[in-house]
Amino acid sequence: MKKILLLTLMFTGMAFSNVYAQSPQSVVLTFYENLQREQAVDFKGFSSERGQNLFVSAFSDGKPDIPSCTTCHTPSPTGTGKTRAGKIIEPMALSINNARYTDTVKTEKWFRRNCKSVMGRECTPREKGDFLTFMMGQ
Amino acid sequence: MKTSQIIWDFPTRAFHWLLVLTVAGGLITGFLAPDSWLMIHVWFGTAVLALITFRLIWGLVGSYHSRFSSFIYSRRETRDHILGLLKRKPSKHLGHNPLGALMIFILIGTLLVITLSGFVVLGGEEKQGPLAGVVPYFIGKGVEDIHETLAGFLLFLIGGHLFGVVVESLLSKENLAKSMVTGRKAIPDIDSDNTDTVKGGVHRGVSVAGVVGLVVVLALFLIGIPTISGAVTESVIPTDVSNTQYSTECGDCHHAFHPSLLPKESWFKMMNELDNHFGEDASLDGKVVQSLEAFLINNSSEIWDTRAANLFRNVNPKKPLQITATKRWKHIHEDVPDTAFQHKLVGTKTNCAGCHSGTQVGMFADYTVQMPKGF
Ligand code: HEC
Ligand code: HEC
Ligand code: HEC
Repeated sequence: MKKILLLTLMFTGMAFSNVYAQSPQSVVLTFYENLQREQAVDFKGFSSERGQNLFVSAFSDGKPDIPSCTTCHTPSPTGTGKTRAGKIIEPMALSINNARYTDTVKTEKWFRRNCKSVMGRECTPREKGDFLTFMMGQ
Repeated sequence: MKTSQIIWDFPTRAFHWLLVLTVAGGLITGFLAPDSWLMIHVWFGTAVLALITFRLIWGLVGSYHSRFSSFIYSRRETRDHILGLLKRKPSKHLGHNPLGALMIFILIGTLLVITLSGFVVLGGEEKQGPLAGVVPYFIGKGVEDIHETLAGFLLFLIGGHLFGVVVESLLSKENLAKSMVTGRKAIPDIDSDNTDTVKGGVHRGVSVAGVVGLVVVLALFLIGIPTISGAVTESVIPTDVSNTQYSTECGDCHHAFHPSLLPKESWFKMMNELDNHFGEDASLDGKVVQSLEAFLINNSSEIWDTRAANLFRNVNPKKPLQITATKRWKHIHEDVPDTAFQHKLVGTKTNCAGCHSGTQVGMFADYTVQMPKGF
């Protein structure tokens, strides 16, 4: 009886870790981690705090009408945003929108566009990783 | 003592009163009802066309007084009748009198042209109905004037018809409207100078056949025409962009504008400057750009013949990327208040889908506009 329980626990545990290891979000995050490792030898992990900072800061080098990520995504990660053309943007926080950060190509496309629009330049892999780490913890 | 006899067989009477109802329905929905009633208007028009078709057949094979041959009069007879009318002693006729007959031919002809032109307009402008596949937009647009002018003329004819019935009823001391209900008319005295002899009464069998014919023709039109239309419109309604690569790539910031809303020159230009797209970076991978470009060009306003494609084909040379900057777009929407565009369910004037259904196939029509509540 105890054996069976133990086995079941083991299997469910494995199943869980399996899901975690293959969750599409972690694939996306690993993509940026690998990029960052290539660029910087002393990679010490992403920072949720820096990610939050990037999210709420206002920049002046981008398009004048859109100084910050929050212009469209609202100041709250769980807020429902709006594009300038009036279309709804689903929340960025993973906890309430698990459709987020599931496709590297999509995430990369939007980082490229939005960072250029807001900051006038592309974000670095570290900035992207930080941002994702922040949003995935929200 | 006068006796009376059935002159108008039942199918002719049923035709007459059904025509009254459906023509009234068509006129009211055409002139007075809001645009959203278009399909009801078309239903009435279809019924009118069916009735007229039946009458044309019945005019050849119906009972004696229903046949056209029984009321085609020579010019002389018509003139004599008018002269008689002026002396308040019109010539007597068991069936239609010469003026009444003339009115009937004009009414039937007018109704025929009105209903057929209606289908031309429906096909050309709305890309709906049985002629959707064959009538170009500009022809539909042109014929719309004929359709409307004739509808006005029809009002005039109906007035004349009613006036004629009243005058003839008074002069002949016989209620002609009632005859069209009961089918009976008084038989003139044998010794009167009337030459119209009592010919062929109405056989029961003929009436039954007529009623069956009437029902069959009505059913054929009212079921057949919408069925044909459904099949035809499929080929002329532009590509549905929902669930395409295009709507995934170009539908995140705004609804995916249908490619048929702008000419290919505009799309080329837009796809070449995506990194500065209305003050935003909307850049895409080179391969994706190529594939989208092909899709846009295969569905641009040069390709489709919808109203929207025709209206917005002439872009504003200063702002060739914007549908909303065209003269036509501004003109059409000049009565739409700013507050409607700013309504929380709409947001901006570029959110066509906020007020229009059918944006995914580029079909815009005033009869499908759904303004936010309160407008
Ligand atoms: C002009 C409006 C706008 C601004 C400003 C903006 N975004 Fe976005 N962002 C969008 C839209 C629109 C989407 C795509 C809609 C969706 O996925 O729901 C998006 C999607 C994203 C995604 C992809 C999410 C996913 O599911 O993969 C990321 C990451 C992102 N934005 C990051 C940022 C960052 C970082 C900033 C600030 C530097 C920023 N955005 C600023 C409009 C904006
Ligand atoms: C990053 C957000 C974003 C993306 C992605 C985007 N657009 Fe836009 N687009 C806009 C904004 C903002 C406007 C200006 C809207 C306004 O004025 O309300 C606009 C306007 C337009 C207009 C003009 C509408 C008008 O009549 O005023 C067209 C056409 C258009 N976009 C087509 C496209 C196409 C095609 C794509 C895909 C290649 C695309 N857009 C992708 C943000 C975007
Ligand atoms: C605030 C609501 C609203 C928005 C947003 C809107 N429209 Fe309209 N549109 C209307 C109304 C109302 C009419 C009918 C005007 C009339 O009949 O006088 C109309 C009429 C039209 C017509 C003519 C239809 C006909 O049968 O004559 C076209 C084409 C059209 N709109 C295209 C567009 C396009 C393209 C967009 C987006 C770029 C758009 N509209 C955005 C409300 C709107």
